[in-house]
Amino acid sequence: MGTNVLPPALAIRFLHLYCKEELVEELEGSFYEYFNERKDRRGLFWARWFFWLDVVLHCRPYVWKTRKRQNSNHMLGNHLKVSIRSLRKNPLNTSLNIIGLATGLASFILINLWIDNELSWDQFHDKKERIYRIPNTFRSEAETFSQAVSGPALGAQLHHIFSEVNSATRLGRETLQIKMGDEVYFQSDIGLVDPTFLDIFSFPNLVEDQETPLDELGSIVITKSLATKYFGDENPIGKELALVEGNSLKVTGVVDDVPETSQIQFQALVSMETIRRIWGSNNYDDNWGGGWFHTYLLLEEGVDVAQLEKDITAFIREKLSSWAEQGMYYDYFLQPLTSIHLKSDLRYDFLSNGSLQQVLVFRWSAIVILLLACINYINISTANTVYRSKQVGLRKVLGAGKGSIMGQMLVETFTIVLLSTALAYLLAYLMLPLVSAITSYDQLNLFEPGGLIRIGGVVLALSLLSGAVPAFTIAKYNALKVIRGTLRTGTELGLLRKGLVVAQFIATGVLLISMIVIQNQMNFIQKQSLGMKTNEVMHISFQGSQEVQQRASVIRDRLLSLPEVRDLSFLHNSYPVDGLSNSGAEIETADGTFIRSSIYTLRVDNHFKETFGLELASGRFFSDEFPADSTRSVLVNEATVANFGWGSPEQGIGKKFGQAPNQRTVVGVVRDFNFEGLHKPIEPVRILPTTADRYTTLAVRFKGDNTLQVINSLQSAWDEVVPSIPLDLSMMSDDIKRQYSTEYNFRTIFVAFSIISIIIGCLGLFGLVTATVNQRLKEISVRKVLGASVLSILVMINTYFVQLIAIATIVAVPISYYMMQNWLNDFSYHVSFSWWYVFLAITGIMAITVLTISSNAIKTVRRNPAEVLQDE
Amino acid sequence: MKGTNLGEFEEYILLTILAQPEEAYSVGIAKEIEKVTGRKVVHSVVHASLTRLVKKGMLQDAMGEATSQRGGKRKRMYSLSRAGIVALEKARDQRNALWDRISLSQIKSAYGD
Repeated sequence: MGTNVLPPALAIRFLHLYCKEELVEELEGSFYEYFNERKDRRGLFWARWFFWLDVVLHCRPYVWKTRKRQNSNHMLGNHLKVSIRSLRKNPLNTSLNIIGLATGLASFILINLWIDNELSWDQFHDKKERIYRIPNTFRSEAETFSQAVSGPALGAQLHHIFSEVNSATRLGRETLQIKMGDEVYFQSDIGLVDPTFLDIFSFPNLVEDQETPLDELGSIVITKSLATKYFGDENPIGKELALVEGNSLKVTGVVDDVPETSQIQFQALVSMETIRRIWGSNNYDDNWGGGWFHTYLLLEEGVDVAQLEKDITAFIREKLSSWAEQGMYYDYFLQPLTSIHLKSDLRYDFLSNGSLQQVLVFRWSAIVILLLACINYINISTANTVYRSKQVGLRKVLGAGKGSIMGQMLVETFTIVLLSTALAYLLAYLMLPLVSAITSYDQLNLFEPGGLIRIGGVVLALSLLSGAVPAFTIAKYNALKVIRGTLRTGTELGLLRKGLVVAQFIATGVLLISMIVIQNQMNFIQKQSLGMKTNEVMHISFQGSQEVQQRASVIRDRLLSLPEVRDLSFLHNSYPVDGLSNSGAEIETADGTFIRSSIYTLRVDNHFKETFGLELASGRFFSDEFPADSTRSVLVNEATVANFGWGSPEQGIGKKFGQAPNQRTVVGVVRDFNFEGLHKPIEPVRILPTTADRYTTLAVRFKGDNTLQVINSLQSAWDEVVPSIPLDLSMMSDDIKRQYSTEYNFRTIFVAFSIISIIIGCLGLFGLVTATVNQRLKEISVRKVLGASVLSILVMINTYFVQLIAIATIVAVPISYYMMQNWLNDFSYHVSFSWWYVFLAITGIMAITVLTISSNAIKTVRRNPAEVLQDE
Repeated sequence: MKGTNLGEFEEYILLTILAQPEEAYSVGIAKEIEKVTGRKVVHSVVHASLTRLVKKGMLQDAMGEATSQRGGKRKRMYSLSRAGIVALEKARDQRNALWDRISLSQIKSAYGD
């Protein structure tokens, strides 16, 4: 009968797993008996099912296997003692291990510290789950782009129109001129907000003299440090700040300084309405289009965000129907507040924004570096097992089980890892100021509880991971052979160790190649001509001070009289570094029709071209000889010519912007210059003349290398003309460098990674070579006796490792090629990945390897063979 | 005390073993009890009780022969020890002592039969 039909094998396996030996045969038999019966009675399916049920039902404590437990706890003290002895016996390996692990751990600690900070942005707001920013995507016939800022009407009205929106606030940034006695201060970082701002966001420790401190016109909320700056130790609440315009602002609240991890940074808050009254500007609260302010919405609980986006987009399209007729649309979308820092990269977005990709890259780098250190430990310990084989053999003879030997090894590993952790924290502590400087986080806390707990877990995992391999290897030894001295732990590396060395060098290779590519790209950026004389320009910001505007021509004459000054130009919010504003315009196309498009705009005086060193492709620049320029003329760049299909720069002359009576004619085309950094391709830009009453900043082109002297001369000349206005000056080349701060930081960190990984790799190689050479001591001596030269033996040892490294580079090249191609593609202008980099990296690694190996092995190789062989 | 008193189920098991010594293994006992009492008897419960009784010293066990019905696995055969027989006798005596105090006619009249 049915002996060919068997009960479920898996169930039997399970039974054997839990059931003790005395009972298993009998139980299995019984189940089988039931199984056969049920099979005949109810069919195979149910029989199998019940078989399972039986197995599971019998899984009770009295059936379970009992572990034969040795009490090994009393050995712990002994393990520790022996560990410390063997660590001291082998100071070279111990220090290699500890330094390697500590370096890896320190990098891991620091990188994770940074990652934690990146992830903690904007988390301190109580209502963060309900706060969204509302940016938009603008579409026209000519272009499409997404911008972080929206029209002023959104923040002013959306909460009245949509019941899903609880409240809204806009956020702009301004600089106020504050008068203290005779001094004028440019107080930058003034947050221009709506009174609801302080209800929506939770900035810490708000002290206020009334429920809604920004409600009343003419009130200002300031930070603690600003309070100290203007009022010292006095209670600032109720005090007044005088403005140059003649009004004054009353302090109605004080908040703690804004946390570093906040996208919204400010020194003080003033309501939009207050500023509007002071400056007498128009009321724009009905203006739905354009990109003006960051707008934040506080939504009601459980709102369908996708639906709300659609509703808002539809509503505003209705309002802007005249735009739609001209083929221009806005699509609005909502970004959760806490996602903005890492995920948002829009036009006019916060410069402080990070990148999720970078966080991921660094997270993996941290893990890789830790693994490298781990591999090192495994390599060095297993290579040196010969040293301890006697000890292990004796222990085994005296009755130690595998478990006990492994316990001993794990205790030893754990000791090393603990020592390394202590050293790692010391290293991290010493490196912290450097990390702060690179990452611009000032308040990094190394000993945060969450971080400590995680490091604790990592330490434990590290001990187990790197302790397990040597522990297994050693515990496997045959005691008899060890004692007799006939054990040969292969003179060649085991397959495992080979693999680990290769893995280590793959990582090193990838990092090194990447480092070279990044270095080249950064050099390229620095050398790349932006189409402007960036090294000769200084930028002076006077925030549109009326005093300066009124004396603009005096300032011009006075500064031009300085021998250091070549030319200067007044601008209206048009410094071609920070990114320019853009606005809509009607632009003539090749066939004479007009299309509406948004275009970047520069508003400058007649000396702009000379000051920034731009070149003309055709036509002329604005000139005092053509008074009509101020209302009739416009210049564009080459990108505009290409974008609107005008053909050549010469054919661009005479094209029209806008309709009569405000129509302007293109009088010249300037060669492309890069006003947005090399990340982005050059976009169309128009250059418009501006008038003295709109000047906000000043650019000065200087001669000579002594910038300090130039600054001094400028300072004294400036103080002669407008003594009450501070000279707020920066070098254009520095401002441009700041655009690439992310890349510069990336480079610094990558260089650090590469160096660390190379150090760790070399440490590992060093330890490995020592062990290998020592194991092959006799062989080497015999070779020497037989006539081999020192050199040939060195070549023999080197060849072996060089082969491994060759394999590693073959793998490393495509990986780094892929990674770096991705990175380079972020730039519109970049170097290409060249094989020359690979060659350089490989040569570097090989040189370091051969040097490490040879310097280490030479002493051993040069030993007198007689010495080595005498006790044979 | 606890060790010497038998539970109802344990008593059944001991009796069954005595009643059919040639089928005195877990499956055989379980089937027999099922047949006699008409209750569903789960093997794991029988087996646990058997193991407990062995531990208490009321049963002795020994491995029996293997059959094809059991997939070539041997069964564990049980037999009563001295202590087991004593415990059974004690249980019967206790019960009889109570029965002896009752007359059947009393019960019938009490329940109106």
